[in-house]
Amino acid sequence: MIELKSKEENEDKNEFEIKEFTTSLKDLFMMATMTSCILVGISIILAFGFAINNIKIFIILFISVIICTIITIIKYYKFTVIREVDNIKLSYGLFNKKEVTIPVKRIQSLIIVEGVIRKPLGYFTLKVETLGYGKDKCKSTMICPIAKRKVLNKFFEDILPEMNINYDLRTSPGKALNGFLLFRLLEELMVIGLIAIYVTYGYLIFLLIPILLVWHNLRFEDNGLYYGNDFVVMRYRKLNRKTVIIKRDCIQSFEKQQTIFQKRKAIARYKVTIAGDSLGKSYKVGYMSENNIC
Amino acid sequence: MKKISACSRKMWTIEGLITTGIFLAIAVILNIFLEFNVLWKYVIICSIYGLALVILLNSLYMPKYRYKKYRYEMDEEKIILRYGILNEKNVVIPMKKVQYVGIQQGIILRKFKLINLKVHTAGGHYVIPYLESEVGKKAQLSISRIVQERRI
Repeated sequence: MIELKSKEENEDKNEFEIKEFTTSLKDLFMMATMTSCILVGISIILAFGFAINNIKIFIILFISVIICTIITIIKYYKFTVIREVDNIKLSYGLFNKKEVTIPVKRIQSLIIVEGVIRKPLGYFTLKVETLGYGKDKCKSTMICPIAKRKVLNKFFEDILPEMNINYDLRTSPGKALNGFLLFRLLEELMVIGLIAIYVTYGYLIFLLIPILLVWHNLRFEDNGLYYGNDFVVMRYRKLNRKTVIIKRDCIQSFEKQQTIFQKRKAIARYKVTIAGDSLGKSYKVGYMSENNIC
Repeated sequence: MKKISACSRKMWTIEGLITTGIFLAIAVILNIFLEFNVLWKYVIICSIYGLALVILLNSLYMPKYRYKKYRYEMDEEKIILRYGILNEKNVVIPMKKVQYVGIQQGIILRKFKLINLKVHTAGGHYVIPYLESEVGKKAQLSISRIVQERRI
């Protein structure tokens, strides 16, 4: 749990109340185990692939999980976010202490990431895209490694009141579902077909198709777009569900794209580009109803 | 909405022919110099020939429609671009975010007295192709004037 500690000692220079969030050790532990989940998966696959003896597998797994957990905890130990007047300060790390200062004015967009494992457990991660200079023009910084969904509102109120907005996302219309499923499955069916032909017992992979259908349905439901006077909010899912809140002043260009089939159904794909490296950083949401904007 | 120059149809055809030529040359060179005799070689070479054919047909028959669809519009607040036959795109660039405007003119373009206008923002650039050079230069001036006024 993130704990709210509003320091009562008012400084003479600025009367702005300094607010602070600290990620608790328990949450960090959760995060560490979740990240090592991926490693466990990989090692399981590797173990079956190379058919090592059973005991060896378990030893390797156990050690790797423990090491991964410890490394993550050391890296993000005591992750603290402090809001000053126009800066956000981060400090974290056990041995190698890091301190980062982010000017609030330079924040272009905020991303709420909800992972596949984290979302059902009610956790999220916050990232911030800032405008910079030189090589790393667009930098994304994590301002909250892990927190419970309940705390999100509190976090917004205390740390980033500028980004605290009300919005109602419009989801994709139902008539777009067929096209969405068709184009996603076409790509995957090609890969599945190739595997089924060339790998022994490859036909078992056809069992994946219903799972994929359910998965894509889920993805489709997560699509969302909101276009307000000051902010644009986009929500989409590739693997993790991402909700992107973009300041409208930071938008460099806005693009609407539709194929001839989509034009008949009044469906379009929207793309927003913000300042980034030479190609720019862009967010896309597809299969939205056309009369949303413009 | 304004249209781009009518010469763009010719330009697209010429471009397509040049790329077809390049692809054909690559295919021929591969055919001569690739020593090994496996099925893969023929698959690759045939696919290059096929690609060249597609580009050729595209450059011969599509420019008419592409010219019909290509529109652009400029005012003090935004630049709007609209193009694409099968995949229609509609781009809006707010004038606030334009950093600078450049002009491109190659050898062939100079012969037809055309220019490409390149609009740069902090997140990539967009090209308005094949404008008549007078129109294009006027557009460049007007945009740069707006940008300058904003800076001051």
